[in-house]
Amino acid sequence: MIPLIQPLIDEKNKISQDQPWLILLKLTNVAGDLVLRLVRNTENITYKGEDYIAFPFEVDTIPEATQGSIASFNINVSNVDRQIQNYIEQDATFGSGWEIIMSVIHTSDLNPSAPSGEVAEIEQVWKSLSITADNETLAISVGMPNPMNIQVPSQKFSGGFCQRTFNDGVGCPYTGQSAIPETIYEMENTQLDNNNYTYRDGTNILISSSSVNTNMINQPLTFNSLNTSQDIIWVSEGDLSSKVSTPEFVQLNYSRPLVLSSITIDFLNTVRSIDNAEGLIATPRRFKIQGSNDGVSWTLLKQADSSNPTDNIFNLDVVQSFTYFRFLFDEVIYHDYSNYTGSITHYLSGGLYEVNYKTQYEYWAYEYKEDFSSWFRRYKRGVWTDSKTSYPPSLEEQDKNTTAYLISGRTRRVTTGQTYISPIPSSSNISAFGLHIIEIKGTQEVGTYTSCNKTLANCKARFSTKRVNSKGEKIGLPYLAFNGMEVRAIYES
Amino acid sequence: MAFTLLKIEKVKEEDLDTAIKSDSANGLVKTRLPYTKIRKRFTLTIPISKKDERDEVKGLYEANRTVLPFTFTNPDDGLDYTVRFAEKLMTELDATLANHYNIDNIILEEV
Repeated sequence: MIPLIQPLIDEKNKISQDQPWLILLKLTNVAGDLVLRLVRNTENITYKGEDYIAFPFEVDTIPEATQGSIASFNINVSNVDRQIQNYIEQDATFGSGWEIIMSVIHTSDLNPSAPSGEVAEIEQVWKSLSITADNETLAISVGMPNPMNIQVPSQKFSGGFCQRTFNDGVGCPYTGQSAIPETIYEMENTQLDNNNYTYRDGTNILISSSSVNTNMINQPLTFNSLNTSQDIIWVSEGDLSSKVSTPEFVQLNYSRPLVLSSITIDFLNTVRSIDNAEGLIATPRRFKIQGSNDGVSWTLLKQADSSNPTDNIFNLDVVQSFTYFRFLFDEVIYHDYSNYTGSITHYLSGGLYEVNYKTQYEYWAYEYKEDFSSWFRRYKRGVWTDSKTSYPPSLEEQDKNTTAYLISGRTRRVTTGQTYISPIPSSSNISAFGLHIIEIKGTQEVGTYTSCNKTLANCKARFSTKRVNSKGEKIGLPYLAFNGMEVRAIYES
Repeated sequence: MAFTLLKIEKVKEEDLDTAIKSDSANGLVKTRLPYTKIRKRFTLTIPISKKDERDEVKGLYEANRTVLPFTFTNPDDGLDYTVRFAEKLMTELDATLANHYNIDNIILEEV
């Protein structure tokens, strides 16, 4: 029992109380994104800076359990207009597990001029156990969860059996699966200009960059009317000279340590998305992928340097957990697409579209729509070949029956610190360069076990401590730490 | 709102007393208020009215009936109260007087 303070006791014991006591309910759902504040009163009030809505409800007498049972009682909320029920039905837990703070305050507490130290209240925190509703009343059963129903430790280990046997992202892989399962933290819903995103497992990613070109960032890919608005494209800002002399970077900051295994970028879509009309743009073909835990000292994970535009998957050399990952660009390649304007004349009926990159050629298969209204691309990606005279084998037979159309292209490689003079008239976009991230593969750190396949015998690396008892029998002494609590379990095998 | 046409003969104002009174054996009564706001009830006595006066209050009633709240300006203190018709409106055509009506007391309760 929490003792009342003396002024409150004096107020309670008055024969005639001309100022009422009010009961406040503050209901917060499990996710914490919904808070309902109700007061049993005839008008709304403001208490501690929060607005409470006058709402009819009754609180049952709070019982005291003396027989070892778990005390619970009902809060009956008016349900005539279904207001609260509507919130309950939209909740993922249907109102179960909500935090309910019940406060009893005196009207004098509502005086904003009252010294904060004199605010007298009775406050109790409960959990909603279940909720039932009829056409008049929403009965919220509140109490505390039965501690005897909580499994401690929350995970059990049995001899000869490893419970984590499937691809759960942190446990043992199945036969044939790689040692570290690659939970994919895709950039699917992340945009580099919308720099904060929370994945479904709660991992948060915060993206920042050295600069952002607001004129071109996240432009939808409108290359020849082919919209892929989901593209994630970051584009630096500035003019040509400053961009070449100043290293640019994009930084990903995860809320928990992750092990990244590979990154896939789309070189071509970056090129075309940024500037498909005016010619020269740059793409990062030489850059460092770095990892850090403090955002200050960095470890080189991959030095990416490739002149092949199709080489867009970069597996990291260092597999180690970090919270920061950075793409640091120290060299870019400028591409001249001055003849590469989005004109329909580049296409031949039912044919291919060829782009020359120095010694390589890219083929796109295009078709005319049945109603001849527009062209559409047959494949998501082009096909590359070393010669414009040999058709890529993966193209369909019907695609080979037409003539490829050649577009000349030029490339220039510029290293940091060098001054690059554009061979063609300047464009507003020629200085910027961009990054189009398709996919980032990574996982949470899972330890150093090597293999694990159902039986505990194969989990030796995970539960690594081996001991022998007085009988000479093997004894394993594994332990896990979770939720801030270290739990030890002993098994014999 | 204040009635522009309807004449009000009397305004009876009373509290809707929600005070909690706990009796004890020695006759001592412990009292307390459960809510911060004490609602009021107004009983309006209306004299014999003409048709346009009757139509004014009838229009107000039909717009709100006993469901919707509206603002009532108490002619006594000039303050606005958010009220509802507590009971249905009863009007009666007085056949002895052309175009005159008897209107039962109008009871308004603060919401």
